[in-house]
Amino acid sequence: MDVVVEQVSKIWPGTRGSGVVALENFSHRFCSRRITCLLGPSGCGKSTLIQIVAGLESASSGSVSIVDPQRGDTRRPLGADSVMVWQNLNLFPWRSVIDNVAFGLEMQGMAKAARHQRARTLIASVGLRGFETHLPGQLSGGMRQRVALARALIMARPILLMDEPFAALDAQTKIVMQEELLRIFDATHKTILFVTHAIEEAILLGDEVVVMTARPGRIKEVIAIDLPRPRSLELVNSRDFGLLFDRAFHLIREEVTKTLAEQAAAGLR
Amino acid sequence: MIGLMGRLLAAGMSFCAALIVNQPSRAADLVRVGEGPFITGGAFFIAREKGYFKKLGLEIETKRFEDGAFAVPAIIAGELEFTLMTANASLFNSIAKGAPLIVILDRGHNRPGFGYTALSVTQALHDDGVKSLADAGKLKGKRIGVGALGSINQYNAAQALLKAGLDPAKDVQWIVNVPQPDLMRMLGQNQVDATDLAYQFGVFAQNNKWGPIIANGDQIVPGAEIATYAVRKDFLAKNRDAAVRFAMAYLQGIKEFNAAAKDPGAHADIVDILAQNTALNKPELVKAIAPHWSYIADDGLPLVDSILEMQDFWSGKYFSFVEKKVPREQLFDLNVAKEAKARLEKEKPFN
Amino acid sequence: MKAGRSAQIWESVLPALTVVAVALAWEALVRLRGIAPIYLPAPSSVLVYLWQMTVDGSLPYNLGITLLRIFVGFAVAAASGILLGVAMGMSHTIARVADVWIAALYPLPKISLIPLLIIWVGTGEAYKIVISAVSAFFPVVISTYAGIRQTDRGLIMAAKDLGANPRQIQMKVVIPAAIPSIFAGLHLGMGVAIILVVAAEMIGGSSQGGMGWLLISSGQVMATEKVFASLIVLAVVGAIVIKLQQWIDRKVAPWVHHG
Repeated sequence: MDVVVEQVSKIWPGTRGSGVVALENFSHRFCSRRITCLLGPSGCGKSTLIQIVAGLESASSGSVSIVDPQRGDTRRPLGADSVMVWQNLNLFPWRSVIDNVAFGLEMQGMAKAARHQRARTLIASVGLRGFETHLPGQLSGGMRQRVALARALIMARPILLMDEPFAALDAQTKIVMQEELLRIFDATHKTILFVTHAIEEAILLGDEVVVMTARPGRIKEVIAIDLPRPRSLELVNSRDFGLLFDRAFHLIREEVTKTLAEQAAAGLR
Repeated sequence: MIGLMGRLLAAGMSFCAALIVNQPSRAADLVRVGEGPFITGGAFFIAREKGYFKKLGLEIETKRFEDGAFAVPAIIAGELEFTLMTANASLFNSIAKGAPLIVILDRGHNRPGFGYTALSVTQALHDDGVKSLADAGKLKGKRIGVGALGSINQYNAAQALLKAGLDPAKDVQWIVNVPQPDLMRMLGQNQVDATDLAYQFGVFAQNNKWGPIIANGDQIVPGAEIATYAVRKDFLAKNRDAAVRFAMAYLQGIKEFNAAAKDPGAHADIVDILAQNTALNKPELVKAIAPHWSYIADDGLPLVDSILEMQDFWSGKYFSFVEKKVPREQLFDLNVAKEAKARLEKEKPFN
Repeated sequence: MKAGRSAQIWESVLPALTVVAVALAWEALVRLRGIAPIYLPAPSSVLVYLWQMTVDGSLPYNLGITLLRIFVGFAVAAASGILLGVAMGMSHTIARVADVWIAALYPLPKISLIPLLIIWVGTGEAYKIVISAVSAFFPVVISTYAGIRQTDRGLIMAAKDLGANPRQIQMKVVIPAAIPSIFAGLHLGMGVAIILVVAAEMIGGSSQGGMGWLLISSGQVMATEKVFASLIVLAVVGAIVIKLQQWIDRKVAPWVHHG
């Protein structure tokens, strides 16, 4: 299932008629069974875009649809085809790990025994066996991250939307989670849209990196990442990686500078 | 120019002369007195309004307490020299627990004919047969409203019950913590079955058909003490002469108070003073309840036996409000009143 | 670990030690300065009275009555407050109507309602429980409503994304997420209930017992040691109730205190 985003714009209503243009005519086809990374400076609208894809936010204009590359017919994804992993996780603090992971199935009405059994499998697969009855508050950042992943994966939806999921982690844990994601991708080949502002992460994980401009968000450039899979951390030191990094870095730097200037100007006004 | 200056100078000199001439031979003693809105303070109000204290060199500052009970902490804290002090349980406990006070004067008692407390019942109870003191036995199990625990009202009501053979601690329910005017209204609404209140409230309730008075305090315990004046012991020690002069002016006030109680029509000025300084407000009301103003001992002496009787009662078998009794010598200094009486007869300052 | 353990013991013993120190200083002050009991009774004599009042039954009896009234008043306030708060959170109409009334009635000092209440319902149990329930109601309903309105948007979006319908979101996300706020409201409500029950027992005529009754009747006859003893009992009860609430909070909602 490709995710086709056509001319999507988003304007946040502002005071006195003038609104903030978060996205401007964003168009892209996200290929199925690939990891596509959305890379851009803060405020470029990448989180907004992914929430529009998830059906949690509405576009001011344009459309998002699912297209089967083999058959060409269109459907609209309304969240039942995609599942989100959030930057600040949004785990339910009062629910145990197993009840967090099983939440989606519970909402579907699945019986407790059945959904707990599935949850246990997922929990074990992300390496958290034994922590089923813990509360999120009792876990470390990395462990919570894995609970969030498990909660998303249990839904068995083809599209995984990830909004800067590893941004709040320390460097060590981040590496572990990146490897974890790569492992999961290799095993499941879901369609993954991965939002990040970390260049290295985008190149390491993605088959394609969509570089966005500063606000209003448009596509600046799309970089194809031809590095072979399965990938691992050692890739970071390779020459090809370095070239890709430079290319992305220069694109990003321009946009970051623009954002900073705009913020400074706004501050001075 | 010279004429003007001369006139100014003359005016200035006569002004200074007037100041010097009007200077009293010595500075007046400042005396702070705690009083309440009840007519039992009548002798004090009369003496103050008529300038008797001033004549004897006393500068009076009155602090009014709507609830007389609050005057006692004020004097203990040193804010007053004299205060009204009702003959209730807190008098004994305060002095027993070291309050530096001593009782020196009478401030109203239930002399027969002049009773100031009244026992009332609801109209319903009255119709049911509780018509006089003899029927007090029918108050068994009923609710009796009195202002406070250990008050003279509770004392009188309890004595009425005792006379009818009831146990005042067990056979009735005492309703307390309610101001007297509200108790009066509660009588009308049958939220209490009986009350013992200051006479004017009993009359008011009776007039409004809320419930009749079935007995006056002077019928229940003839001659029972109602209230006294207490003085701070350190003040008494330091300036006994001022205390005696206070008593002298007060004694004069007593004379006029008692006389007016017997014939209010002939003492309009007294009636006015009482109306202005008490909760009674209007002269007609003051006249209407005469002679039930209480009677203040002509010699000013507090009723020692009655007060000691009350202390026994409050520390006795029915109530244990007072655990440590105060001996007579610690409660009273009767010499202040006696000296005042002697000096009045000798010096005759008010004739 | 030994150093850590003794520090722990010291920390839990310290509050008790300060109480003892204050009591000793107070005792010394009264004895050395010869302060009469009418001004400040010595802790030793207060303790004697405390013992007497316990043995003769007056303390347990009055304390029991007060606690019962507090519990009933608080239970009524908690139940009605939480129910209305949740209803307000779920229905915009209910919220707008109720909000006006709450805003108008909350600032009124409830103690001033006591004479009015007595006229309506007399001086029995009714008015004491009503006044304490009415007063405790407001912090509960306000905190509950606030907790529901301020639900973390992220949690709601996550639930939606995972397929929850609006009703499920209300029941399974919004209400559990509001629990910390609800607890805060319950704490406030309990404090208010205690204060108002004792006040109601003091004001307004009745001989129906309670700690407030004990306070005022001892005060009326100037039994100063008994007044102090009653105050100490109230203070201790207050502290115990608070600790108990905190314990219940931790048992019911352990996640509130996590990182």
